[in-house]
Amino acid sequence: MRAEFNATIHAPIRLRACAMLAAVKELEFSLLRDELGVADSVLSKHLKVLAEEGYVSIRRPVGMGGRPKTWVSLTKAGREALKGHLAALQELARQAEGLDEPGPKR
Amino acid sequence: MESNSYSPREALADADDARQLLAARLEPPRWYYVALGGQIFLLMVAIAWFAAPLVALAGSLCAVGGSALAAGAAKRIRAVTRFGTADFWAVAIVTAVLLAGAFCALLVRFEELPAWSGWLVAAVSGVAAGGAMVTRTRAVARRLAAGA
Repeated sequence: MRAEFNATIHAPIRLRACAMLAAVKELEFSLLRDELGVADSVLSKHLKVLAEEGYVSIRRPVGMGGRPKTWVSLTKAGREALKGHLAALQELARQAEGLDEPGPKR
Repeated sequence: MESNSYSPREALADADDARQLLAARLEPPRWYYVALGGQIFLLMVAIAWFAAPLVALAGSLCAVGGSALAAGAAKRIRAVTRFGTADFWAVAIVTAVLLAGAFCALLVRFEELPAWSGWLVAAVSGVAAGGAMVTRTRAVARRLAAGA
């Protein structure tokens, strides 16, 4: 896995959504929305961006009876991109810590 | 752009929080285990005390009440697919076995069935309930490990 900063995933809502999706196979849309504390339209917009990049897969199974639910899952590419992005963030955080440390006194 | 002021540390903390939030949601509430444990315990008592129809009745009622609670938990957990569906079926099977066990205890009490069948039902109920809980716990662990 290569540490690579990913601007698409880095947006706060998208990052949190990806982190949640990475922990499971699939999540129901309304659960994801509630956990993120955003409106349907906001989540839809962010998922659309992720789907366009091929990071998430959205399915809406029919024929099960009752109201159809929307299920969201992270694709293989999405998992790889998230891992790479988190690794890049850790690297950046480490570098920032190095910058924060006071230099030798003269 | 929305991510301009989003520092790496904040982003990492957010990602970690999101994962933990979901992990907490995946983990069923404590009363889920208490309800299942209560059902098993009372049913065992009911079956062991063949001569106590009230205890058998209490076992049945507890099984119904506990199952309703467990089903509520399962419904909540079902928002996470596959794993949740399996959990739902585990609860349904355990409930059916426990209710059948309580019914058998009553039949044994009224000598419609031989005494050994009560012990057989107790053993089957225990194995089914224990198996379902172990499977469920392992499923949670696997899911969380996969996301780690």
